[in-house]
Amino acid sequence: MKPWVKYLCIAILILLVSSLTYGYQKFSPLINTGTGMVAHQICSCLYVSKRELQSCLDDRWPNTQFIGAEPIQLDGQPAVKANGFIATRTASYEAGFGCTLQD
Amino acid sequence: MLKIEEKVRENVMSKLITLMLGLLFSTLSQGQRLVPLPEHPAGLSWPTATWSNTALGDDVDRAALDSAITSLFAVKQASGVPDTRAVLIIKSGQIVHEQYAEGFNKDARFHSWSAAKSFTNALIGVLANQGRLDLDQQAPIPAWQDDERSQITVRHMLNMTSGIDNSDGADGGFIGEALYGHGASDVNQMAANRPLISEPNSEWAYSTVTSNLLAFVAGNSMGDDRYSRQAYVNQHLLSPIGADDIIMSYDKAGYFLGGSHVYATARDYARLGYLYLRDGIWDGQRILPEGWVDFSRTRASTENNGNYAAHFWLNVKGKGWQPDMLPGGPESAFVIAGNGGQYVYILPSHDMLLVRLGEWQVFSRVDLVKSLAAVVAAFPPLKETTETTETETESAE
Repeated sequence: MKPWVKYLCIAILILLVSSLTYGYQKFSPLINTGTGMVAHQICSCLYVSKRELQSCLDDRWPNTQFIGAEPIQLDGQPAVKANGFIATRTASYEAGFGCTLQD
Repeated sequence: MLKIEEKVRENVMSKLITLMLGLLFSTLSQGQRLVPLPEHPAGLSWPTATWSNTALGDDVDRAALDSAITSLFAVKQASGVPDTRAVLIIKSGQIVHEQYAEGFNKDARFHSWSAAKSFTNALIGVLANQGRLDLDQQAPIPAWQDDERSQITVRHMLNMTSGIDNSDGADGGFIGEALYGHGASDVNQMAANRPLISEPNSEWAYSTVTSNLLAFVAGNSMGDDRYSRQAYVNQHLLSPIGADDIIMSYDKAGYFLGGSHVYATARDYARLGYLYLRDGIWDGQRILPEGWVDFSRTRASTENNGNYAAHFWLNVKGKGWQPDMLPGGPESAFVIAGNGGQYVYILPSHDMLLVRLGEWQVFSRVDLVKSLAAVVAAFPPLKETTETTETETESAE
């Protein structure tokens, strides 16, 4: 490998790592918040409003549509786990009190 | 005889002067006319257990109403589900129209979003009625007690004029961070640690976390944990008005998310609106203090506010980004409103409530409120309280 190709590869690698680090730091709180919102919203829609999962997913806000959600059990309580790739959040349901974000 | 005439004349003059001064004072101090709140029809059961139905009156423009309702349900999402999920109209204490999108019915609970703020107003009102809180007391928030934030009162918070840097637009995402991000497990801890940026009662700023802090204040006056707090709300508000199916969401610290998280059926939203339409009295029982509803529908007096009252919106011209509520509709309407177009219009001039619940993913807010205004326009106002002859009353609070 010619030296200039080696240096170019290192430069690209540094640029890539820097971009990913910057992007993660910038967007991580936003994605964490959006994932929390989806967890709470889908949990409430399923267990408080008693709607079907697909109907609940259809009502996600446009900028949170990429965040997935699935019903689970948490300590014996119905709950919803939302997955936003770099963030995972859970909201659990208690009868009479609605849904509460757990983490 | 002459003396009696003079006395009568003096008496009449005196009353006229008092009335004129009263009206002048009212106009200057409020800048707003309050239509008297109509009374529950005699002989009709209160809608505690159930709402009764009746036919539309002959004076209703049925063609206009049909057209307006059709337009509300015509706007559909890609999935085929209409943005409007529920429309409920209460006239003189009875249901005259109730309609749901497919998949929804009278038992379906809808997310309030910011309509929860008016519910929080009711919680504070209930506590004031019980003598546990006072509008003009210092807001009992521990983090505010040792600096200039100690000047903030419960009234300022209800009017959204606390002066704290916690508006929904603050720091481009603060509200999301508080409700769903790192602040979510104890929303009020994050919310209480914001600085004062203007003198209390000098600037209006819409703030969801202010409503959360009010729910925190209310919660601490009700009990030590969410179980005792919920029991208090059930006993003093929900059960008396027959709205036991309302669900309030709590954070992990045990406080109600009073800015945005109530879940209720269309009929229960109507019950909350009906409590305000009837001046805080339900079936002979005073739930909210005398004058509370007038305070709740009186515009907050800061220069930069056009149509916000005390956790209720008004149907008058807003300032800045403040949205129109019911274009062309009665100015005396006051409104419970939340994101997605959750609306409970309280219309004293018509003795009527209009509830609309759903989304506005496809519907624009402007088109939605125009359609809702068309619904109201199909109903004639009460003769004695038309907008042109409305009586001025002074807010008691």
